[in-house]
Amino acid sequence: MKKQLTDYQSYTLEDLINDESFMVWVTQPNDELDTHWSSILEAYPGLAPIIQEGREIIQSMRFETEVLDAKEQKELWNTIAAKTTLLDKPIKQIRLWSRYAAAAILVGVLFASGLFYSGFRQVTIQTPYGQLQNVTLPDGSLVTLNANSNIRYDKKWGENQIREVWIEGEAFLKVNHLHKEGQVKNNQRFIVHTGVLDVEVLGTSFNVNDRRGRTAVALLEGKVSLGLNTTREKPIIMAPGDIVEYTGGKLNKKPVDVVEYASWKDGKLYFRDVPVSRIFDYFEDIYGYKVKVDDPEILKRRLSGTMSSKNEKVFFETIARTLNISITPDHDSHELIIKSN
Amino acid sequence: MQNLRLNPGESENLHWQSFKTGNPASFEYLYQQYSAGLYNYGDKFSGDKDLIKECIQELFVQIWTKRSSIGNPEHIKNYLYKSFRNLILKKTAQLQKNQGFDDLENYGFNVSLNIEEALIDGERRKKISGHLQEAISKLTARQKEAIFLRFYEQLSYEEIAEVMGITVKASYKIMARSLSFLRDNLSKEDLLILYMAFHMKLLN
Repeated sequence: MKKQLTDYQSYTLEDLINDESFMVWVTQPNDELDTHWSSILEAYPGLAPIIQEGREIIQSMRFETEVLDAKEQKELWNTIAAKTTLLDKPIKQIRLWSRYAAAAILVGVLFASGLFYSGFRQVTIQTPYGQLQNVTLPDGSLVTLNANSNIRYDKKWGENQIREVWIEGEAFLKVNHLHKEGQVKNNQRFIVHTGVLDVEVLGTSFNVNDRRGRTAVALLEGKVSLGLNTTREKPIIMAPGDIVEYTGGKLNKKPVDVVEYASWKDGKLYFRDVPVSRIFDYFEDIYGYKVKVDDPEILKRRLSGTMSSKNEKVFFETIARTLNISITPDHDSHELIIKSN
Repeated sequence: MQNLRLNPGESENLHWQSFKTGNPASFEYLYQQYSAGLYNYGDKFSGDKDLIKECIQELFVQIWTKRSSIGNPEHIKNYLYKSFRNLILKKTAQLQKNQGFDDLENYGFNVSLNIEEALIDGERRKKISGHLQEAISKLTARQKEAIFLRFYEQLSYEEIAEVMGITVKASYKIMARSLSFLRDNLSKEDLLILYMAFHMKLLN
């Protein structure tokens, strides 16, 4: 903002709309801009009508979005991948004799690397704050890892090995169903380990959240059995639509709308009568801020609605407007300053 | 857990660098970041969904093929939008040739406004949304596109100029004309109701 205050004196509506800081003030206001524009308004009260009009115009420009749904997006990616990354491994014609040589060398390399292999057997993936990641497990099962979470698993799963993953934070899993009939073999089993829980599944999709000493498992489809890894108590069997929470040493089962519950993986959040304090916990977990609230009364309020969490700024702004509060991130101290208006 | 924090621009640039060295994960990251936005942008040029997807596909196959010679665009988004726009215009022009058009500048751009249903009751909403839609539909394709890029994609005038392949001055001009046109074509009452509606948020 290099402009002098006097520059604004003769501002027209077009000037306003063309002014970068005006646009940002209307769509994503912050304290600095609020001060900036109120001081202008104070100096030139005559600008009030066109400021109002400018706001109206900017705010009425909401365009319909044509949505590329997740399935189409995936299909399109598969086509692109097939034409690019998957193809990219150079295919060379090797003459017969050199192929044997290559095989002999390969055996040699495998043999030698076997000694060192054990050190590299596990894969650990950690997501930074504010970013999701999709992970494909060795059996093709899919995991969406929420921000600030990690997953650990063996690089390869043997023929007679139970599929096991270790998760901290939050993840959505879609497990490949390998068991068709008869006795369940080891390699058909799939176990998710969290801090306190073991979740055993056959083939299913579900959400695991292990944060703040609370573990919650929500089941979308299939069947899951869930037990504490510390005791030998009988495990709980979950049905689709169930959520099981572990807090304070106890397991509780209750029904939820699990599609809403796992909606974070599509960049959307549903809140149904959720205490504001929970939403602030979420800011801390996902974006890595420490939340500072000036008025504890805010925490007791409750919120319902759907919002997009894809863009951190927009997400904060939507919540701020809905609750009539201001949410200002301080990037140096990693604090989120929350004030009632 | 780690405390490292990258702002979106930085991590995007890292992905871009890594994509150029042939990392499939970074390539997929770019696709995940931009495919939905491109699809929405493309839809404004043509109602033919398959054509749009074809162009997205071609865009990504193209950048992968020439990744090592591609350089470092200042804004990755603008670069992708611009290349995508060229592809779409070329394809639609090719299709239209058969029907007697062959001017690359002669394109359509159709947007619909979305007035939140919950906020205004049915009759009124229909009326205002009708007025707005009518006013917008009278704009030229260029004007509509500039408005879309400015208000929906929140691009600056420099960026709009880059994507649309025009001068910065021209992008200011296009916007000024479209806005004064809109202002003349909407009544004060319409604007006031819209304004109130956007401030009557659901829960407060």
